[in-house]
Amino acid sequence: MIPFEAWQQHEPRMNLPIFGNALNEVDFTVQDDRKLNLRRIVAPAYHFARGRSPWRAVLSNYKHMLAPRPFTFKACFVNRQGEMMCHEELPGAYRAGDFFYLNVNDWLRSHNVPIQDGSLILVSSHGRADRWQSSPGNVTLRVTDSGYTAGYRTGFFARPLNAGHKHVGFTGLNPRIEVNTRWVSGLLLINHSSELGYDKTVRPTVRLHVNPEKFLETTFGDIAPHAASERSILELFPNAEEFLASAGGIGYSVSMLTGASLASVHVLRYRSGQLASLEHSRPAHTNIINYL
Amino acid sequence: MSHLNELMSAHPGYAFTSQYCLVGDEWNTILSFFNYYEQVFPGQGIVAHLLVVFHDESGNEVKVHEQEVAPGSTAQVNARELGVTRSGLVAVAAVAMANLEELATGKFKINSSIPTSFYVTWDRANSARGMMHEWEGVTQSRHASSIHHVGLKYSEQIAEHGLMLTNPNLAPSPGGKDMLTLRSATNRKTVARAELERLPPMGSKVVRFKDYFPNIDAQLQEHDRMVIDLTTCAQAAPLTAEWYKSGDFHFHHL
Repeated sequence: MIPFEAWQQHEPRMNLPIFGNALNEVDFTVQDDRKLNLRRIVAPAYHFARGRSPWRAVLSNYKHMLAPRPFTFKACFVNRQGEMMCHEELPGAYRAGDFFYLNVNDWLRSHNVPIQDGSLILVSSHGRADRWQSSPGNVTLRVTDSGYTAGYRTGFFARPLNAGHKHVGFTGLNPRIEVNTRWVSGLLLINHSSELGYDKTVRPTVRLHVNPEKFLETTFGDIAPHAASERSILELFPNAEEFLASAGGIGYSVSMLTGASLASVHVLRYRSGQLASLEHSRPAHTNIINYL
Repeated sequence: MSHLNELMSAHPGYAFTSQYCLVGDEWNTILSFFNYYEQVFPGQGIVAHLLVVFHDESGNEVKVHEQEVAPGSTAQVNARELGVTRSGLVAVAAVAMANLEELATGKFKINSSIPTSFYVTWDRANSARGMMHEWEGVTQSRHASSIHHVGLKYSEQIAEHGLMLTNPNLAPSPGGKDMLTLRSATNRKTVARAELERLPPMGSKVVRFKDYFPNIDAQLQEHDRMVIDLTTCAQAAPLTAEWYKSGDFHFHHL
């Protein structure tokens, strides 16, 4: 269970995987606010008129346009079993052009929490209450182990996730799975939610393909609420090397789950186990379907 | 008219997306694409026609590659194996071999310009790798003027910081210069400034900060955290670049 004060619904956040055997750093450089234009000026009143925003949010948005409030940060660490180990409102207020940096290992040490695999839920807020343009931008995760690095950037957001209403499900597509003498791909799935009290453990299914007809299927294993879980392709499919051999050691994966939405990170490790690279998945449907 | 222009005109319902393709010496880039039309239109058997246009850093087209990708299948496009020998922007579109408007009628509305998601794997001599998804869409008009802030943190393990600049648009360059400003992250005091040549259409460039700020190592060690402000009037948001002493690297969008 995540404490009630960890975040508010309108506060953009990001659930980032943390690796126990490496240095984990997150940073965020605040970019300039978007320029005012007619659409931006009219939007709060429009959403009020459509019943999407209360009048307090509308006033707050107009106040923010005239005098933008700085961003503040909160952090919450959840282990791979979904237990919240510590959380804190971080010091400092950040305006456009400012650089926020957090050494996650040092921060955990300061809370007497041993460095371990888990998730950092980073919350970045400047108090805006509207639901449409609340993302402050992209946060960096950098993981360094013995001089080698991996990481990615992705956007904070505040939209409802696994929030009680029915979810169709999740499909994670990884177009390049490699298992050979040098590299081993892996999948890292995050059972995130916008709800502090979210308590659903999920068990996705993974298929490893060499083509649409030829695939292996297995269960990914349980992922606790708010937690991340990483499984290498060789853990999931012990005979993956032989299975992919006919395709030069290259395949692709499809991860599936019904009833909940997950975040997905593509992992590449050296055969020795050292992390080589990370990248978050991209959605397919939003390319094609006009949701707005 | 360039091949890219021709392809964009031939497929007005699709948007090309771009990424920096690093090729040469020990570098190679592999593009990976999953034909996800099957995810949105299950059972329709939609083949994707993958269009890939490689450019050099000056914006010249160096290779056009087309391939069909079966429903629910993937494509691995290896730049070096295709004969690409120079780094630069690559533009990609996956055109559905079906009438999506018709298939979507009564179910949902489709985007008027469908972009393409893909991934790149940057490979350095099969000893270090980085992954990233596609980045900015190719446009017909220049990007608006903008300032991008890039935070830098001192690390003993990082040999160099820099940027990968890309200009994924087809409009003529306005000429002139962009500006790099190096400043302290704590008190915002400007430490140094440098000018950058603007990129040509579909041009790209790797910027190593040491080439513009020779004392940046000592300055970053002294300040611990610094910020580079990139003031530009004709290019996309840059990728940040870190080169590690180990030979590893980390490139990512801002």
